[in-house]
Amino acid sequence: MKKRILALALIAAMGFSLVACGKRNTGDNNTAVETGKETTETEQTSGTDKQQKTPQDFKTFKIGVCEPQAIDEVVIRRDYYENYLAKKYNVEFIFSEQVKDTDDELSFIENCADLGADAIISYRSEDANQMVQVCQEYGMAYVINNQRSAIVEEAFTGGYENFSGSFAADQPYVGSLFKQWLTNNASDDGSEGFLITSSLAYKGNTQHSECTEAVLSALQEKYGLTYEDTIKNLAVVSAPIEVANDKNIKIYIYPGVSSQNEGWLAGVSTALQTGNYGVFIQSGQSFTETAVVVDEVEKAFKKDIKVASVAPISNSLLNAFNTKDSFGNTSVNMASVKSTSLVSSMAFVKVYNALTGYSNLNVQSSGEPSELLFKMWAIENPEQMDTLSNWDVAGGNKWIVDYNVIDQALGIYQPDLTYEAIQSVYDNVSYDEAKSRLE
Amino acid sequence: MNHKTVSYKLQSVLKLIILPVAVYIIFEIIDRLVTGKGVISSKADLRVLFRTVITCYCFAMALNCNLLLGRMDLSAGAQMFMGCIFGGNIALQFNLGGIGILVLSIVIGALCGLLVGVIFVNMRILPMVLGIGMTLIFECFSFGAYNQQGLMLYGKKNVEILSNLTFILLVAILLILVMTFLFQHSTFGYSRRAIQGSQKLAADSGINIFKNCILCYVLAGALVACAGVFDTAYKGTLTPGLGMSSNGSVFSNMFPMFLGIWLGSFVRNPVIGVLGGAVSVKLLTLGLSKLALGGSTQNIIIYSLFLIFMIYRTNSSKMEYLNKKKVRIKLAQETRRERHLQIT
Repeated sequence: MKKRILALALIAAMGFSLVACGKRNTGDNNTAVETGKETTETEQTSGTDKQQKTPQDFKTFKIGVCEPQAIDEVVIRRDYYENYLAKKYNVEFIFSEQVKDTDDELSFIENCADLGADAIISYRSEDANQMVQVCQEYGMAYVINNQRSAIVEEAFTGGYENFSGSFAADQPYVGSLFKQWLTNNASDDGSEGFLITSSLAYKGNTQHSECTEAVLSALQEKYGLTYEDTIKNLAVVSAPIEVANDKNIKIYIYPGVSSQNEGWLAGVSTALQTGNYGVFIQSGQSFTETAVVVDEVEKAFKKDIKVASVAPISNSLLNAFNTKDSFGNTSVNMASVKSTSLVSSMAFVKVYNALTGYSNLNVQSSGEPSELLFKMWAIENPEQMDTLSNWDVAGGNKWIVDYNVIDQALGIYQPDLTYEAIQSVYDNVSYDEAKSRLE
Repeated sequence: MNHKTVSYKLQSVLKLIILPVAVYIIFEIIDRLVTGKGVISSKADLRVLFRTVITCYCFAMALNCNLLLGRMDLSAGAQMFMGCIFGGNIALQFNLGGIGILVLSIVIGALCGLLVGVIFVNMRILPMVLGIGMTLIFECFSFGAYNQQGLMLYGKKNVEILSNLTFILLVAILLILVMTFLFQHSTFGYSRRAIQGSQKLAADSGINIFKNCILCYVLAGALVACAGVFDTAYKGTLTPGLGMSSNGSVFSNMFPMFLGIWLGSFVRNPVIGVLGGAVSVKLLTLGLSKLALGGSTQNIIIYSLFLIFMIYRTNSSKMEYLNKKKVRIKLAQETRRERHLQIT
């Protein structure tokens, strides 16, 4: 009997403590939201006559960073946020482990809420429509890394005040880089053949599908081709196909990625070993995995295969440009790269403007949350790569998007800023501009 | 039947090689009909086959070390990551070349296996549970080390030997010889087979089952690390992951292992049998990839065949019993007919 009473008492105590904790946390978060709103209202009412504030005039904002991958870029981004941005802008970052699914992301957001986070930057956008609601409940600003598309449309149109919009690669521009490269490097008759890895386009990955579409479009324009199916349909095929066209130019689309499809690399090797393809275009980051295969096929068939790929600025890309194939050419002929600091700073700028009372900078003229787009760069020679390899390095001091650039995009320093002006700031960050600033 | 006769030995060898040969012939015909080219149409194909066979063989042998003794070691994949990432990066730092990478990776893989083995015999945790726990720990270590970069062999100097066909062949032959000696002609092998028969009887007869268990784990760790090195040389990079992503390697190499054990029963040598199993499965994979089927379709075919094979193996004794029953019934009917004829 005594034991039963004791057990019941313990259960009741546990129950009360859980309820109390929940109420306490909700109370704290509500307070944070009210503080944020007060700050916003204060800033807005002071209008044009407000004095320029500095980051130290605000409380230390806590920003959660949700990462779905464990790649070089994540390491560099962490260093950029923690050791470069945090001190100057008086912020603290909370980093997730590799977030693979909805539950992981939910747990991370809830943990951030428990730690008093004010905003979430999410590099995983599959469940943005759900997560924006969760963040709203906890009073946290929320920004995602994804182009505005059907899967995240509800976040944009749902009227969520905490949603600060998105930031993403200018996918049509990425496609145009491949288009430009093909126009300059493909033969006049297309006899060399083209192998295109569409990666995860069939699963809805926008970058991969845009890239594949751009390449197919470039080939169509260059050679006056008529395909038997639409380019959009061809780009998202889920099984390897030879693209039928009226001029019988060999174009082979190979979907999938090595990490998710067993036998993917063997399949790519098989395709290359037919000897039918002299140009290998990769919409995903798979040039390190295919390098050995490409090299072996080049030696076996004594044929130079030109490789163009999307790639991160990393040691592997540096190796690729400094490694010569059996023909004396670099093992990657063109890489479409993105600057980690460029991408990361866009996210930071969006949430920081939201937290410091400049949430209007995250809204388009239509009243919907805005989308910031960054342009990738085409790197075509080892010299460019050698220069680039010194920038955006974890532990280094040369960041492509440094304080000068960021300050131009923050409302606290530029009270008359607009969303379009912020986009212009980022559009002006090019390889040549960065070189003149950093070298 | 006299197992030492030449004809019996020839029959056994034929039974061993008939499956890989049959797979090759079937897919040679299918591939030529569909694509116009055979399974192995160039030197590059042969190189791919050799590489994938040695990787698969090492992994399947590693699984064989423990699985048939009742120990499902799910940490094999994570041990591979540990061995390759730490061993490979240390070798690269000291410019030890491809052979240095291979040796150091094997050593560190063996040490990881030793750790798992020692914990197993001392803590008496269920092998699968221990495997899961050690997988999580090893994955964290391999993920956190070297800035999450894993092991990158692409573009590195003096590692080309790992892609050299002759070297791969030499390593494969060396592995087969060493494993055959260990499994068939050493005290370790005899003890292992005794334990496989009955652990209690083996222990009662004086075999140190704990020492044997630890040695099995050490050997498995060394073998998976060897597999990982050749796989990394092929793919250029080995990226660590979390969340038990390394278990994929364990499950994907079970088919060659079970197939190999069955083939090995014909020649009473599981080492050669597992090689036959690895060759068969990799020829199957290569043949399917030549057909330009999607990855999921290929997996469906391969794992369906695995399932059918396992159903057959599990019920083979019943089928044998039914066959023998048919033979007995037939014999009984014939005898009855003859007696009836004699009487009449």
